[in-house]
Amino acid sequence: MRSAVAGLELLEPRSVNEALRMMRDRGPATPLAGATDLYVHLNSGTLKPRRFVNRWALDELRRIASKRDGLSIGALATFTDCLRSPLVRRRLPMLAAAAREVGGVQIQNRGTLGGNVANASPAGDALPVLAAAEALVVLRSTEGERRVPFSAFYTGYRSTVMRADELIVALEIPPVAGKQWFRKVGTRLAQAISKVVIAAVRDARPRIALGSVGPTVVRVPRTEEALASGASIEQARRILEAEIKPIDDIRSTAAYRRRVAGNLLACFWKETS
Amino acid sequence: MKSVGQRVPKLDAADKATGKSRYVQDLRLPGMLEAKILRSQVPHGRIVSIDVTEAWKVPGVRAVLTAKDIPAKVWGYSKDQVALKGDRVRRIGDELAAVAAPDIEAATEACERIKVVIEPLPAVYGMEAALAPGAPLLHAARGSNLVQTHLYEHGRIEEAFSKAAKIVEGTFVLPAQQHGCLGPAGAIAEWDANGRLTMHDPTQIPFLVQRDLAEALDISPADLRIVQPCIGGAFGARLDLYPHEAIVALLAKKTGTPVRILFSRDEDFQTDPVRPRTIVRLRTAAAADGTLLGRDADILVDCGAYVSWGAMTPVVMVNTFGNFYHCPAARYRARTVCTNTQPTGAFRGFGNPELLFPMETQMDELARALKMDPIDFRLKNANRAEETTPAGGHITSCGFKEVLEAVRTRLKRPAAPAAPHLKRGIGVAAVFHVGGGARIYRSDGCGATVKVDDFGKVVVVVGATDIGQGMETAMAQIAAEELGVDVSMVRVATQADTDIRLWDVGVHASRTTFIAGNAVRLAAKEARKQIEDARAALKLPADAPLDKVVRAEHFRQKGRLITASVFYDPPTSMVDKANHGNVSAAYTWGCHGAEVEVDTETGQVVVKRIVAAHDIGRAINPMHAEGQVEGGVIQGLGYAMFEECVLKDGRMQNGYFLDYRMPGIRDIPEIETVLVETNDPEGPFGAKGIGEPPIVPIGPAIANAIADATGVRMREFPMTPERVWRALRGNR
Ligand SMILES: Cc1cc2nc3c(=O)[nH]c(=O)nc-3n(C[C@H](O)[C@H](O)[C@H](O)COP(=O)(O)OP(=O)(O)OC[C@H]3O[C@@H](n4cnc5c(N)ncnc54)[C@H](O)[C@@H]3O)c2cc1C
Repeated sequence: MRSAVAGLELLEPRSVNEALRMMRDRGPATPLAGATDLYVHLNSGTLKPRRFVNRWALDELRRIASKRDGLSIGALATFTDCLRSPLVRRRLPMLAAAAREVGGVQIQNRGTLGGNVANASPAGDALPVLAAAEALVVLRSTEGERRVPFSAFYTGYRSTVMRADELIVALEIPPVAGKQWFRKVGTRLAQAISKVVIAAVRDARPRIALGSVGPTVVRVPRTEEALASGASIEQARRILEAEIKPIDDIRSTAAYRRRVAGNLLACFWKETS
Repeated sequence: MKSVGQRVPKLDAADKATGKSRYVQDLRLPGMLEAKILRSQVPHGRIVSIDVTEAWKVPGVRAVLTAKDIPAKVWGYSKDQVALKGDRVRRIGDELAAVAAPDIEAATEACERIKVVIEPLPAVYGMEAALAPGAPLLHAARGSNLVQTHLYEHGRIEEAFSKAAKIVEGTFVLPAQQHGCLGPAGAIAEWDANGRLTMHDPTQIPFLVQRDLAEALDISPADLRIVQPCIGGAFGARLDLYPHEAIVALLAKKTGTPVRILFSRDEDFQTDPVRPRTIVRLRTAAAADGTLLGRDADILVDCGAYVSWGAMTPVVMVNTFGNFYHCPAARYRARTVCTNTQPTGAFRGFGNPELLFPMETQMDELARALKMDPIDFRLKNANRAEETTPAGGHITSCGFKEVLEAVRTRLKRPAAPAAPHLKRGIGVAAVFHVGGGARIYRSDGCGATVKVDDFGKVVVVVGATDIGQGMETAMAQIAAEELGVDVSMVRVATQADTDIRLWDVGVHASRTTFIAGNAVRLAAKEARKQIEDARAALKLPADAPLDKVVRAEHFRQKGRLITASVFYDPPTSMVDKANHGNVSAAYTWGCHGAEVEVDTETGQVVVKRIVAAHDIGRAINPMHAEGQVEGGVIQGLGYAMFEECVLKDGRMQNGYFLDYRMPGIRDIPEIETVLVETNDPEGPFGAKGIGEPPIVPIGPAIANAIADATGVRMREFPMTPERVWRALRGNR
């Protein structure tokens, strides 16, 4: 481990309200969930925060419940919780599919949906699902609660509208009509970070979201529009390849990501027809 | 036979599976301190100053060392290495200072507080750039970044190419490969009150470290003892002396306390003596009837910033180049080069994967061009038993034909794929490798002692080193067979140190079963003779149990103990100046067949099935031999398909397992292993080495299968989806 751990401070709230008070009064304090992302930073010596709020014991944040015909998923629900939940499997099968592709079993047991959203990596596997499902991010602070549409949550590369004293408490997902589809193309078949990840819903109004092809997870309105108004998949594919802005990095190249995204769109269209 | 040839489970398996084996990470000596090395973040520069004042202020710090505090000794393969750098840094990761403290946090913090001023110098990363006139010079004393040129020739090369019906040529690019051992590097040093040093060091070369470390520390080798804890993998990564071994010994001396150094995973990535980046330009010529006429190679091998075993790669490559197939003319030039990157070392296969990707690709290209079946083409030019090659290699046993036929019968052309953008194909590639040691030192020997005690327990003390390959079990089986006892009666003293064990050159070159196995066999045979002589002299019945005979011999007047020591050095020679000679007492062949499916829209290659046939002489333990084959295939698959060190300005960008992509279980296809037994006349019970050959032909077999499926030739590893996709589009 590159960083010394001796100088770190861990706060242990017994309730969500206490956690929120700690974040207000003893900040800057960073909320911990499964710590799978934070630990990577700790290990590489790039972790800047010194004080942490451990909420792992706050089971009230882990609940997965039906909300009208949709879902409310507590921010602390792990990927394992998601993929084992009959409710998730019935109402949001593309989330179960994404959860199954995250890391290995250990990461699925510790990694949380809230952590994936807050971490704001463009490669987060659950993010395209939440974008395509048009989820709401439920943020709470000592001042109250607000609901932010997923499409307005990210403001740029690894930045969000969330304030330092706020917690994500849940993700609310409205009922999703139409066939759901998820696919991840990684650098190998398991335990890999996405080169391109896609979640999509086949409906009169198709919804398509991609990860790893831009600074944040993106919806592709022009492509969706084209498909909604009856364009051929070949046309839609060309629009998509122009609409996304992938980059070259150590995992792939921009040209290759464009091509793979186009192929995935074609697969989606074929497999949900 | 009752022991040899049996599928005896590894004797250390239960301890390893239950966490009882002790690695250097598990050892703790009373009062032991932890060490941390401060490393250069500049790829090339002049050290202006190193100020350690603040480091001493961290509570608990017991020693802070820089170049000024240590013996000014230059050491290493080519005498260009020092433990701590005082005037120059030549790569990111160079050792600048070292701290010992009671815990790693304090040592780390102290390192972070050291103030280093380095004046950057221009750096050079590519081999061709490093050889260009005016390139920044790494080692002024050498006058150039060229380390050495290796030449080899036999036959009339120009004539061969002028009369060829078909010539193929190409340039092949091979990446650096990380060993990625489960156990990162580390060592513990302790000095006794008489100034004698004990190292707990998971090295592959205990007896050479005894010599080299003593030199680096400026002490007598007689005052140095090497104890090897259980070794968490090595694959060539522990084949030299490295700066951390000298540093930990110097810290222990300074503090008068045992000191341990353990590398973190990212430090292990940064310092691993990787397989060298290699560029091979190769031409191969054949006659219209499929007779091989000539091959001509020009090779560059990257040594990195300091010369270690990476520089030996051309010597190993040339063995295959000069010996493999009947090839009447061959010419070879290989140059080793220094660059501002991490020093390179030995890696399973040692040059052979780098050379045989080009050679076996061109064998495939020629076969296709001449409209011959690739296996028939290889058979037509195959080595045979009882012949001496133009390079001076003497072939004893040879199973080349058998391994080729084994793959032919098992590799079937697959059914047409489901969709038009999917293409399927099959490919084969072969390997030639040393199988009876490799004389790269004056001695390629190994010593062994076998003793039989009053209770019939057999103890084998052998110079050889177990790095997880199963040496312990193989030696126990050989001793048990020779003595006629059950394997459960044999113990191999793997924890014995260099004071107790007899000399061995180290674990490399697939040599241990062959060389150490012969030493153990001969010692056991001698012990057996002593027992039988005693039985006769004491007139004990033929069915008197062994332990009873041993006791009777022990407790008689002027009694004797049953013990025998043997040093076995194989009947081989080092190569001469022209790189000719018979370096190994036996050679081995293998052939891999691969079936692939290529998605032409994404470039994704799925390896569906692998057949791996190897001439092993005799399998002392078929289960472990299969394990070696499967492990080699998987490691070779990683090299061919996934792994590469991505460098930017001399810094590795993917020094962690998430982005340094070793194959995971879902990437590994079905592997069918075929062991061909040719009963080598010199090998113990006929055995030959199997540790390295399986890593070699898998890459070219896959590349040839890709060519079969798509018509596209891959000449660069790893064959990632992006590279295949670009190649399919004509590299646009
Ligand atoms: C080996 C490995 C493999 C991985 N593989 C994948 C993969 O395949 N796909 C993928 O998408 N990810 C992967 N990850 C990344 C990681 O596991 C996920 O992003 C995970 O969802 C993070 O959740 P966590 O609970 O562990 O977050 P933590 O590490 O606890 O937190 C991450 C960040 O979010 C903040 N945070 C957490 N919860 C909240 C909250 N409720 N409100 C506000 N802020 C919060 C934290 O302060 C921190 O900044 C992998 C990680 C590792 C180590």
